[in-house]
Order: sequence, then structure tokens, then C-alpha cells
Amino acid sequence: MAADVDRQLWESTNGSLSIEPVCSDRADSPAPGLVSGTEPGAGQETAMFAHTESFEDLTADTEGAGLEPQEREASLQEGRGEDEEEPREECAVIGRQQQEGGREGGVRDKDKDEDVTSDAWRAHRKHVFVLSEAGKPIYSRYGSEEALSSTMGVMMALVSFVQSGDNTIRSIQGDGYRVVFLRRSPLVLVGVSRGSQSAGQLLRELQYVYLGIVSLLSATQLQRVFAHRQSYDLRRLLSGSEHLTGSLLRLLERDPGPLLSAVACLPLPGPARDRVSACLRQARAPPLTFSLLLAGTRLVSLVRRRDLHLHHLDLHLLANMAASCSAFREAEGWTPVCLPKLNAAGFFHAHVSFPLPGTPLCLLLLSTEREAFFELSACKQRFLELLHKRNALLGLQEALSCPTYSVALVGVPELRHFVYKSRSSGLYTSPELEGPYSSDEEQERLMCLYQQLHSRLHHPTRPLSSIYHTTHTHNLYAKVTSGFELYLCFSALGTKAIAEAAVSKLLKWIRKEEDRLFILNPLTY
Amino acid sequence: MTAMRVDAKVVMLGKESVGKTSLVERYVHHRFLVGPYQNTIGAAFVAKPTHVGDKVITLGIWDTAGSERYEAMSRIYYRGARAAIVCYDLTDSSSFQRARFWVKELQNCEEHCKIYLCGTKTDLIEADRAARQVDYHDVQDFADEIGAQHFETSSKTGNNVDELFQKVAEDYNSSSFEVMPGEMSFIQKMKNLRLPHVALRLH
Amino acid sequence: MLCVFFSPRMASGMQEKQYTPSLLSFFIYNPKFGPREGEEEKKILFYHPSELDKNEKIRSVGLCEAIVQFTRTFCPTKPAKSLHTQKNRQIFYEPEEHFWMVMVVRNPMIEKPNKDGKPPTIEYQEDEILDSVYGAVLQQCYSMYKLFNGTFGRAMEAGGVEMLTQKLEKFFYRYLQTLHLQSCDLLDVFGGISFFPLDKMTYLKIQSFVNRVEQSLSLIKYTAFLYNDQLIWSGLEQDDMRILYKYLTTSLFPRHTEPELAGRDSPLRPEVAGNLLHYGRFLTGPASLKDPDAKIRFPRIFVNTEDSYEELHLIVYKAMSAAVCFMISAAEDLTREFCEQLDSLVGPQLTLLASDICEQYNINRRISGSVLISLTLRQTPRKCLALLALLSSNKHTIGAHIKRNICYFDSQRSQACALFQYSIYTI
Repeated sequence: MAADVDRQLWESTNGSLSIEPVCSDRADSPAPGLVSGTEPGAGQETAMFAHTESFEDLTADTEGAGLEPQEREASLQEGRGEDEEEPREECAVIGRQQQEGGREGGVRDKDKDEDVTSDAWRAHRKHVFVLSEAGKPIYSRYGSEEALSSTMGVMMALVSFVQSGDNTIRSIQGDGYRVVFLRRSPLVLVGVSRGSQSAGQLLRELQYVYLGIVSLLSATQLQRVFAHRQSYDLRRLLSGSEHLTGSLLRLLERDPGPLLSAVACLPLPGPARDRVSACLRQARAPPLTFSLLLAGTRLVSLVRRRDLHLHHLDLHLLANMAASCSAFREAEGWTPVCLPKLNAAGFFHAHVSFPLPGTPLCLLLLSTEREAFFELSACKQRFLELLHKRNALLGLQEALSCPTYSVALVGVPELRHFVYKSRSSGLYTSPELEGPYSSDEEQERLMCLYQQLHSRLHHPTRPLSSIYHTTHTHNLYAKVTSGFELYLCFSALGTKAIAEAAVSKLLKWIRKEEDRLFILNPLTY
Repeated sequence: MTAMRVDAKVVMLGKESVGKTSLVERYVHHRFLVGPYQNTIGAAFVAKPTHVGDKVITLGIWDTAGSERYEAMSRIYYRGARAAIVCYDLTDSSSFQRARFWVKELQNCEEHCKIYLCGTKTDLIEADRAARQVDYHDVQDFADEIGAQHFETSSKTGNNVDELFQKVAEDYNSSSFEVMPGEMSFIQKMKNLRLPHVALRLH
Repeated sequence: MLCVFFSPRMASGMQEKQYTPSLLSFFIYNPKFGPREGEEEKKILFYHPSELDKNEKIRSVGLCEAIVQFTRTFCPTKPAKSLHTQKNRQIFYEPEEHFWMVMVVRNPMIEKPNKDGKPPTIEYQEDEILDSVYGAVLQQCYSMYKLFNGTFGRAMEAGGVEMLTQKLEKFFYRYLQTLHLQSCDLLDVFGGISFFPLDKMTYLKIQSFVNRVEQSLSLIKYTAFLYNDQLIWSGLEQDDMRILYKYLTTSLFPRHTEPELAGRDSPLRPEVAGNLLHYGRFLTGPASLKDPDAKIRFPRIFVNTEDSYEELHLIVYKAMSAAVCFMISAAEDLTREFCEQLDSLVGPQLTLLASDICEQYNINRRISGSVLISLTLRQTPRKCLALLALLSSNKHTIGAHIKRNICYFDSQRSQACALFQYSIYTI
């Protein structure tokens, strides 16, 4: 009975996005069977994020228009007459230009110059292509779009051919690779991946790439340019965003956040975090809708307008954007950005700054007003002054200098790494990737294993509640309950008994550390 | 340090990857970053005080993204600007075409804005004369025609960069007496310009 | 081949219909045969359903060619294996260079009726079928074809495209009808052989029997020995045996109901009634040696196609539960005399051996104590009853009773089956 009530509560939060505080008796030794809202890491106040479960999230086509029509005022296209099309036509920016003077060895250029018929090109672990429904190339992760235009033409032909039979192409399976197609009109995305990544995972990544494009242009503008001219070369509008897409793809390969539909927090003692959050709230200004403090992809604090919830997906896109622009490092950035999950139709305007030089701390202030730059700049200034005045700076700097923790702290033998997500708060925690996982290659391999387990747990028709997986180097255990989702990675010496015993021990440890690892008291303005 | 006092609004314009951010970086931080090229997203603002005679003039520099995507936004960056540094890449003739576009745009919309044509990456030209795609004299003729200043710079070596911005500050200083009375400062304008608060509807 | 059944979930009188996977099309093409525009039809060597519009056939082949070509962009050596779409799944297989076999399977689906006379909603269950299963089925199609016809390449050499298309037509027309896609499962992937457990002595007896026969009838090149549909001894290469085994157990044996199980007066055992010496009979070749007009013709099979490429006569001879396959080079002419010789030599020995094996098998059971054999058989009711009768008549069986007898509808096999779980007590 009690479980049923809680379940209803949980479901209602999915729908309305505004939940009543869950009355929770926070047990010190949480049992694995505990319900949503009482698991370690569950927020004590209202939920910080829009609650959405990974699968519905990525399969649903619901990036609908959310805002009132006048919100479109904030759109990029405002005040632009049709007659202005012409001069821009003349000086259309098409060619891939050489890198900026003297900046040698740009990653992008190396990738772009690659010979698309070479073995090296084929050997890439993952290719991603974006094309328009007219078959025009928009993006390729490796190799230039020009060199790949015929390949992309074939991709579009395959999509249309299958479509003409009143059917939809999903994927092509080969020996050791697969090709996945995603149609998000007016775009078509194609992913080619080697190895064991499931089609579902690849689809998730394509969906992210699509939403990444929407975050730059908004769905409205995207529809409009193609409605206006089907053969439009979208690279004109997307020029310069290739490295954003590239870093987004790297993020998807490394970071468990997008996989789990969750956000990690910078470990920070509860009182210190509360002080920082209070400063952030104190420094608010009327046009603000969200104030975010990030360290890389880790959340330090988030203050939001009471009636708005940020979606984890939008947050990942924001974090990726902020981290991928060197111009923001020393100056204050001001850019329109669309948050596709919150409102795919309009733009927010983001003030981006790195207030503590030499640290990855990034302050993002979001507003719906495009002229609010100086107002938000003043907010940032006020926030810094408050941090000084309230002695919140030292704690923050300490936390920034050690942004992770060692898995050894948990005290579970043979445990090498884990990922724990609190489902009600949408936050997760994970220790540092150390020891055997210090290389990029091994990190990606581990992520791949987690992805495999995740696919099995969240299989669309045959979901599992737990799975134990043994390879010659690892023993993995994953478990999902209504309250949490947990992935454990043990050394080859681990056993199923150890893994099962580790769950309650780990939950106990996380409970003990939860005010440091999670944001328990999210604030609103 | 609370209030950001900005005397002159300066906007950087030009095709993507001509080196606007590097130019600002060189001027403000006296350095040149070597690393993978990262396009600017939206725009970045930085305030830089500089000496003109015995006066301190603070330039508020808007480093805008070159991508067409932000073209419609660019108006808010150059609106009320006292100076526009229109950049082009000396090794890329199409970037000069783009520069002409920006000049036209400024002439139409911001008649009080002084234009500085800035060729970038002279270091590449010095390394290889054949790399030059934009002729010095052509640009000079164009500059004369539109009443603009003309500089060729290198952010890598620092060549001519300080001179460019110094000239911008000096020009501002000497022209500031001519400013029409009653014109609001940019910040004042910004503060008065508040869009109606927009209601957000959840879905 | 379409199978419909009603799921127990019936909401307010509205029935949800569930459809199992079914074969939409099956075709074989060679892109080299019609390289010029307008000649595309020449590429198609076999197409099921044959009545489909020519242009439709060309379009489907074109799609496969495009997919294969497209995937070579990413992996030149390993082209596509399958294409997943919302409604169906296409499996590609290139058994011989440039010869492509393609099988298109419609995904299982659920038809949900709508109120107000709207057309029903169809939900395709895309994740319900496995590439590996249908990939194995397709490979089996080829292996079975090759067992009886040799390779595509040989047919081309012998009689050009015309002969190949004839052979394909003849073979696949029948074979595709026996393809029960809805009942394919993981076991098809293994394509395994079931071995009969036996003690050393009996095994040696069988081996010496095989040696004796091969010595007396020197024409015999290979021999395989089976008991109870399980393999005991084989002289063939494993891969050839695997497909032969598949043929024997799924096609040949089931077509020959055990005369031993039929009643004494049943017309099924004319041979036994007339000849009290043994129970041996031919499963391939002449139905009766007594009929002077009966043609002496055995099916041909092709083995070792990779190297020596042998064409053989396949003689399957059975006595009670023991079956022997004798394979003789196709170059030899098999006469009535040879058959009679074989019958008189093998018949009595095999009958003895069969009862020996049976006895030995049960003794072994007895040694390890009185054993309860629990079987769960998925057979047609008729066959189950017959089996039960056989088991009850065994002298070592002291008791047998049916524990459960449920006639049920098996969604996997899509045919009425009876599930018998019965226990046999042996001494």
C-alpha cells in the first residue's frame, strides 16, 4: 500500500513537474528496496530537475513549443526582413576555412582533412553524420562534408526509399559495426559505431546531437529555414559549431550523466554549498530564470525561478557549450541559447563567465531578455562580492582543487568504480576513474560496459531489475529500484556475493556522505 | 569595482576564424593561445582601461561570433558602438568580402560609429608572401572611400595590435567633445531598455 | 504461413490480434548478371513470392545492393548482415562470391482495434526477433540447398544461369513451405547434433558393425549411424553431418512413421509382416524390393564442397530405432542386386543391434538404480501416444504414467500440440 502511494507520487512528478516535498524518514542504513524520495541523495525540497526517465525522454518527439508566442521575440531572427537575405547570399560563408592564424594543429582541421577513403577514417570508433532531408551534408565528425556528400546522398536515398514503402529505416547491422538512422525532420542523423554499443545507445547520442543543433538554432528557426528553401545549406548557420558537436560526442562517450539522464555534483560539504547557493540567490536580478554554477560538467549550485525546472539534457548542452568556447574564459560571454527540453521554440540568453581565474568554475546566468547583459554582469559581480563577504570562497576553492574522491573511501573490497543515481533528485555520484581507468581508452571501455548494462536494465520490452556481468577483467553488477540506479564495477576477483553485499554497504556510505555528494537543498529565487 | 565604467563601446566584426578573439586576447592579456581553434559562441565582452595622454579611457570591447547564425544578434552588439573593428584574414579573400558586408551594415545602421579595417595574420604573409590574398592598396583605397582607418596586424607576434586599439581610444578621446549633447551613455540606454517581462508557460 | 491467435487479454469484447513473424519475401540475386541499366531483372535468380510485380522485385534487389554497397564505405571486407526497419527485418547472406541470399521477415505485431470504426492500430514489436536466429535459418537454407544441389557456382558451370535458376526454383519452392519462421528459436543458431549416450561395449559393437558392412560392400564411402534420432557414429565431416542430420531429423524421419509403433495389422508394416528375419527397410530409394518395377534411385547429396566436392548417393536404412546412412559415390550405378545384398546383410544385424542398444541403454539406467525418466515432449498428440505405447511395451519399463496431458496452443510452433510430461520407471 505504502509503496503504491509513493509510486503515485513519483508518477505525478513526472507529469506536472512540480512536486510536493516528499516526507522522508532518512534511514541511516537504507535498504535496497527503499522507495523513491527516500534514497540517498534525494532532495529534501522540491525537485531541481524536470523529471524524465531516460527512455521516454529520448524516444518522444516532444520538443513542442512551450512558451507563449511573444517569447519568440527573443528569437535570433527578430527584426530581420526577407530583403536582407540577398546581401548575405552574395557573401555566403561556405568553405571550411583555414585555422586561425598560427593556431597550429587544431583538432577540427586534422579531422576535417582526413581522407574519407582511408583505413584510418574507417577505423574511427564512431562516425556521426547530419544531413538535411534534401540529402545535403551538414555535419560529419571526421572528414569534410564535401568529400562525404555522395555518401550522405546515399544515406538520404536509403531513408527515403524505405519511407516510400510506408516504413521507417532503423539500422543496418554489420559484422562488428552498426549504422543507426534517426529522422528528426527537417534533419536526418546517422551514426556508425564499431563494437558492442547497442542501437539504442547510439540513437541516444544522435538525439543529443540533434538537440545540440536545436540549442543553437531553436526548432522554430530550423523548421523555418527549410520551409523557406528545402535545399538550404544549414552549414551556413551552423558554421563554427562543429567543435561543439565534437565535444558533445566526447562527453557522451565519457560521462555517465547523459546515459543516466542525471547530473553529477561537485563534492562540497553541505554547509559550504548552502552558503554558495545563498550567495547565488542573493545576487539575483529580475530577468534571471536560472543561475547555475558549474565545475566542468559537475553542478555546484543551481537556483531557478520557482515555476521552472531545468532538464538534465539542457544542462548537459549548456555545460558543453560553456566549456567549449575559449572566448568565455577571460571575458564575459553573452549568447542566445535554446533549451530544447524546456522550450524548443525560443531562446534564452546566457551570460557566461569564469569568475575564478585558473579554476573550471563557470557561472551561467540565464535570462529571457536579450538586452540584459549588463544587468547580469552586475549579478555576477555581486555574487563574487557576496562570496568574499560571507567567507564562502575558501570552501569553494578547496572543493574545486579536489573535484573527485577515491573509490577506496567506500571500503568495499575489489570495488573499482561505481555510479549511483538518485532517481528522485536526478543527481548521480561517481568516484574518480583511477588505477586501471586512467587512460581515455579504458575509461571509454568502462563506459561501454555501463552502457551495455544500462541497455539490458532498460530494455524496452524486457526490462531487468538487476544484472551481473562477468568479463575476463571485470565483474559488473547493476541494479535499479524505484529509488535509485546503481552500477558497480569490481576487479576480476569480485564475485556475485561480494557485489550483492556491497550494495547495502555502499548505500550506507552514500547516505553518510550525501550532503557532500548531492544537492539536498536546492533553492529558488 | 562594482560598477563597470565603460567609456567607449567597441565592436569586433568579421567573418568567422579571421582572428577576432585572438586580437582581443593579444590586446587585453598580451598573449597568443596556441591550441585547437574554438569558435566564439554569441559574443564575449571585456572592459579594458587604456591611457590616452593623462586620461584613462575604458574600452568596452564586444568580441562577436563570426557565424551567420548570430548575425541577427549582432545589431545589439554594434548598436551605439563608437568604434567597429572590422576584421578580415589577409590570407582569405572571401573574408574581405564579408568585411565589406559589415561596413555596409554599419554605414546603414550606425552612422556615428567609426570604422577600423583590420587585416589579420601578417605573420603568415611574412612567412610566405604568396599567402596574401587581399591587396594592401585595394583595402587602403576602400578605407579612404569610406573614411575608415586601416591596419594590418598579427596577434601571434603582436604586430600593430596595440597601435590599433590605441588609435581607437585616441579617436574616441578627441571626438568625445563632439558628441551631441543629450545622448545617453550606452549603459544608461541598456538600463532603460527593459523588455516586457515574458511569461513562461510550462509544457 | 500467417498465423493468428487471440491473446487472453480481451478488453471489453475488443480483441487484440497478435501476429507472429512471417516470411515476406526470399530472393537470390547476383549483381554481376545485369550490370547495365534496364537489365536489372537478370540479376534475380530466384524470387519468392514469384507473382510479385517485376519492378517491385527489382526495387527490393536494388535496396539490398545499395545497402551492401553503402556499408562497404565503412567496412569494405564485411558488408551488411541485416537491415532493421519498423515493419520488417532483412537478412543478407553472401554464401558464394556475388551470390546474395536475402530473407525478409515481417516483425511480429499486435493489432489493436479502435473504437468508432477507426482502422486498428498496429504496433510492430521490433525488438522481438533476433538477427542471429534468422541469420542461421538463412544459412541453413543455403546449406540444405547445397547438400542436395551442390554449389551455385557448379550449377553455373554445368548449365549456366538457366540451370541454376531451375535448380533454385525446384528446391526453394518446396523448401520455403517447410520454413516455419514463427517457430525458429535459438536452437536454430546452434544447429547442433544430438548424440546418443552409450556404453563402451555397445559403441564398439556399432563400430565393428560399420567396419564389417564397409568391408563387405566396398562401394560404401561414408557411413553414419543414428539411434532414436540421435547420432552415434559418423564418417562425414562435421559441417556436412550437421546439415545431413538436420535433414534426417526434421524431414526424412518424421515422414516415415515408425511401422514398429503401428498395430500388427496396420498397413504400415507390410515389410515386417512378410519378413520375420528382420525389421530393416529403406527410407530412401525403393519403397519395396519385391516390386520388380520399382526404380532403384537414391537421392544425391554433395559433401566436401570446399575441397574434393563429392557427389554421393544417400541410402538411409532403418531397423526399429536404429538408422544407418550409407553414402556411395554418385559415379557408381546402384543396382537392385546391390540393394538386396545390402538389405540381407544389414537388415538382420541392424535389427539385433537395435535391440542390443535398447537393452544396454536400459541396463545402464538400471545400474544407476531405479531411475525416473521425466520427459517433456513437444510432439503431436498422435506421436506422443505412439511413443508412450512403445515405452510401455519395453520389458524394462515397469511403469509409466502420464502426469499431465494438456492440449495447448503453442505460439512458438503455431500448431496444436500436446504437452506430455510422463514418467517411466525402469527396473
